[in-house]
Amino acid sequence: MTSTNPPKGSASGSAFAAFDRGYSKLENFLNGISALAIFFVMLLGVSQVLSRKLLNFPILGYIDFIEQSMVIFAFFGIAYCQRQGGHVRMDLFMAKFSARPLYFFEALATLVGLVVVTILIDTSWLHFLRAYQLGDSTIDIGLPIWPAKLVIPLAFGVLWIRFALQLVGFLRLFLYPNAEIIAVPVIEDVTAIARHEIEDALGEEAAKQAKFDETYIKKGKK
Amino acid sequence: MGVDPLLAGLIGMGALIVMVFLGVRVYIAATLVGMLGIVSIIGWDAGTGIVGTIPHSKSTLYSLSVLPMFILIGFLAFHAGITTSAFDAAKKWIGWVPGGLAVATVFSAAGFAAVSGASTATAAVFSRVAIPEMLANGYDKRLAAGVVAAGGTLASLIPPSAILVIYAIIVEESVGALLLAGFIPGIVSALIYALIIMGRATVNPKLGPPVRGFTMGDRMKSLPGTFPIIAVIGIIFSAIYGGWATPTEAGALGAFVVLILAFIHGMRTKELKDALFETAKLTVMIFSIIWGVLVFVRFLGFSGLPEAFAEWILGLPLPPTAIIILILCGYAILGMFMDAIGMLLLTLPVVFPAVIALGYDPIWFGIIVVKMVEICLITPPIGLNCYVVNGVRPDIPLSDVFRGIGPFFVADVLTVALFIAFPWLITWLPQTMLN
Amino acid sequence: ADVVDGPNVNWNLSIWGKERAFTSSVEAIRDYVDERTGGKFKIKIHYGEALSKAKENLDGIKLGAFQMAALCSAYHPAKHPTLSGLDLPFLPFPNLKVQTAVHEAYYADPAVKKDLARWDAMTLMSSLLPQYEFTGVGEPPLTMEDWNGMRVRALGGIGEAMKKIGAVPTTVPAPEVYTSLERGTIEAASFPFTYAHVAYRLTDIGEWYTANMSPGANNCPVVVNIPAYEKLPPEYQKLLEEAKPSAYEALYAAYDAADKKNFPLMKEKGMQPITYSDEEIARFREVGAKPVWDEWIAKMNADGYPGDHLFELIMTTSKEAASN
Ligand code: NA
Ligand code: NA
Repeated sequence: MTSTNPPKGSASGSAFAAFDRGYSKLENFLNGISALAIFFVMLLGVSQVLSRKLLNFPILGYIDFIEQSMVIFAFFGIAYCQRQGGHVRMDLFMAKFSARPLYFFEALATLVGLVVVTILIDTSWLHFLRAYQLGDSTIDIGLPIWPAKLVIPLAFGVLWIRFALQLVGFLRLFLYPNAEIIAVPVIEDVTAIARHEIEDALGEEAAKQAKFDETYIKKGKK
Repeated sequence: MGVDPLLAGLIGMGALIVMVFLGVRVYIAATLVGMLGIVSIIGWDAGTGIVGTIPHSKSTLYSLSVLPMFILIGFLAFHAGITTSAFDAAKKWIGWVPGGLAVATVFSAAGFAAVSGASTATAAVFSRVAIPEMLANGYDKRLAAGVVAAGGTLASLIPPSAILVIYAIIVEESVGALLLAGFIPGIVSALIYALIIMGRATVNPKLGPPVRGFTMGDRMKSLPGTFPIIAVIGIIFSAIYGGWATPTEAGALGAFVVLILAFIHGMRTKELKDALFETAKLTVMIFSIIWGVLVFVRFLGFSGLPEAFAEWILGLPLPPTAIIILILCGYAILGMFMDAIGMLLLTLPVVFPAVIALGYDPIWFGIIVVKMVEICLITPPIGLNCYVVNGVRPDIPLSDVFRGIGPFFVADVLTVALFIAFPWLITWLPQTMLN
Repeated sequence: ADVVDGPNVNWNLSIWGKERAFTSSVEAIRDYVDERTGGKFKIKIHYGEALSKAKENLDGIKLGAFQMAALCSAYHPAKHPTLSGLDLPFLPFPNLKVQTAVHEAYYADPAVKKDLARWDAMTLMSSLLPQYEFTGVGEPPLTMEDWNGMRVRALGGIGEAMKKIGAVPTTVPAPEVYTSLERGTIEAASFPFTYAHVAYRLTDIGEWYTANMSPGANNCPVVVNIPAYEKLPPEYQKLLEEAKPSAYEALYAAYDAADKKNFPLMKEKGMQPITYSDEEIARFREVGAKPVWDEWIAKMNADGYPGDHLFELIMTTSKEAASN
């Protein structure tokens, strides 16, 4: 899809791409923390069983602790997932559009996301503030809840910037449909999705080697 | 108090469908429609305020913490070499029947399903492991491809299965009961696949010759390779049945065992890191859609639409079986266009109360719906499993994969009919083991 | 009584779970105001957390998303520190009427009112839970020492007291208690007695139960959003107050009916009741409860709440109500 003609607006494009790359690093880092948290939940689960079975010594407040730390893997990777186009959607009809109308609808869908996340930042912040100012704690060992509630507006903040980047990215493509694609996920056809599935299951090598039956796919598209 | 809540509920359903079709991510579309809906009933400040509580309160439920554990097991399973050894054992033990390697593929896919919840991943690994051997033994290309694509779908029924956990949580049923309930239907599906293969291979031996010549010694030697499968099944089942561990703890133990085996099998930290990153990404995707859809569900709670829909369904001049079949056809059509998890989450809040009002068992319905979703993975136009097979084996044209699927699709329709006729096939195990 | 005339008012009430003994209080209030206003003051009860998760009910009240809600103070002790006084273990509540009197007096105390007013909430009444008891398997704990090393499911204040006695409180989610008890992950579980013991099927596997230990109970007030309450015409406000006696009667009757059904059932299953002597109960109080009480009072005082006063209020009200 990359154009060979020198795209318009490429000077601003490169600054934009640089920012996108830098910001992606932050998203990767946050997703990495989420990955670590999952690893930690696994270890904690194993310890809890062993400690309860072998030592008659359950980890007190285990459930409270897991519940509140769940916000890490439920939210830290949210912008990372959005960047990679990993959040579920139906792009069957989008995939039929040609470049300009496609980028228009993509920009529109992104704008909707931006608006929703803006409201969510505000209201989840108020939810945190209630817990922080008026008090809140867990049921079993009385852990304070405000830190977990604070994670949510912060994660939405990170997501907000990703949505803003994608909005700029799609508007830019709407204006210059032939420009290089920066900071937005491209719609994947079913073969690209299948390639990802192969990569997840069998590794990068197998995914690179995967080839799809072009004739059938073209026939199907007519 | 503004709009009539019921009307708001209907408008909301319509708006949601339009937005989803326009390509808005489901978690965003559901949140927006849910939020506007609540706002229309109780006003802006209270409405958006309620929405602001949901991401935290709905993602910090202990029962949901099993999801990343199950997903992690699936991502690690390939590295632990489970596929190869499962296929090897199945081949040696049952390769002698007509179409033996294809039957072995079905049963080893069922075994692999016990460590993986992902249909597409299962199809991918068996394309790599089973297809070469079938082709080398002169098996029909279409049969080889079809059995792998169809065998992959067993992963969502046989525990561990993320989609069954999600169903359980959305409809507030026991996670353990749903996981147990998937087991027999998974086996029944596998058996029906096997019968179809054996029948066809008996009529037309060219489709797939039996493979013979393994001694009892060979067979016994193949068994230790299946240990990880037995270990994970053992942990999850005995934990649910014995109550000595919660599903999350059982998932954690299972992941830990598979992790150790993967390291023994030669996995490096790089691969562990990749598996954890992918687990994190899939986890956040699932959690986002869960709380997003629960915003919408909260709106339905204020609107009273699910009760009204249930009443309407009850008032239809049709027998319950006809209504259930219509609902299932609806799922089959939706499944052609949408991802399984998104589809379930969007529809269940309205459909589930109606199905229960018709007198159906919630556990039974969960298994049936998941089976429907799985059928969509092997049917055109999307049929993701077929693409996965074609991607790993470009020498088998997609048209051949889809033709190879034909008999298995028929088998699946028969299986669903069987479960509708004999619901106890689904409900017996959880009822017996948990009471 | 005469029909009270007034405007049409529609309120929503958020509660968790299905219709059950515990919800008979709010159902009685709903029915009373509906009847007395000729259907003009409607309270719609939304069961099953349809409007809010139980733990977020107070947030919903603060937001004005609904006008009434039930909540249990133990679900989120830090949201309203003063309420936790009624959750202290082994408080002297010989019966539900004494418990009612104490809860009412406690909720009326200015310190408690002020605490809840931060959430724009006022308590209307206490949706009483009966005293907890334990159901267990294995060797019955006939003395305090027998509890030493026992794995028990006990939350909050009861859990703390049991720890002081030497038991090992173990976290088990309520739906999993049956299996945990059956397979010995825990040896005893405490729940409101008798109805929750039957609801969670503990009576199917339990070998013994404590009959008069009364280690405590959660307090679960029914709260009203203050701005919504203030918007009501005074006649309607008065009706809410007048509805309370019938609501309390409904609770007593529901629990009594449960007991009448459950006691023969437990006897039939061969469960052994354990009745502690007054001296033994006094030892439970001394060793298990007293230190927890003292810690609570000290903590409240340190945090700027009238801890001494609130605890004294519980004790004196209880004594007065019991002698009536
Ligand atoms: Na599975
Ligand atoms: Na599909």
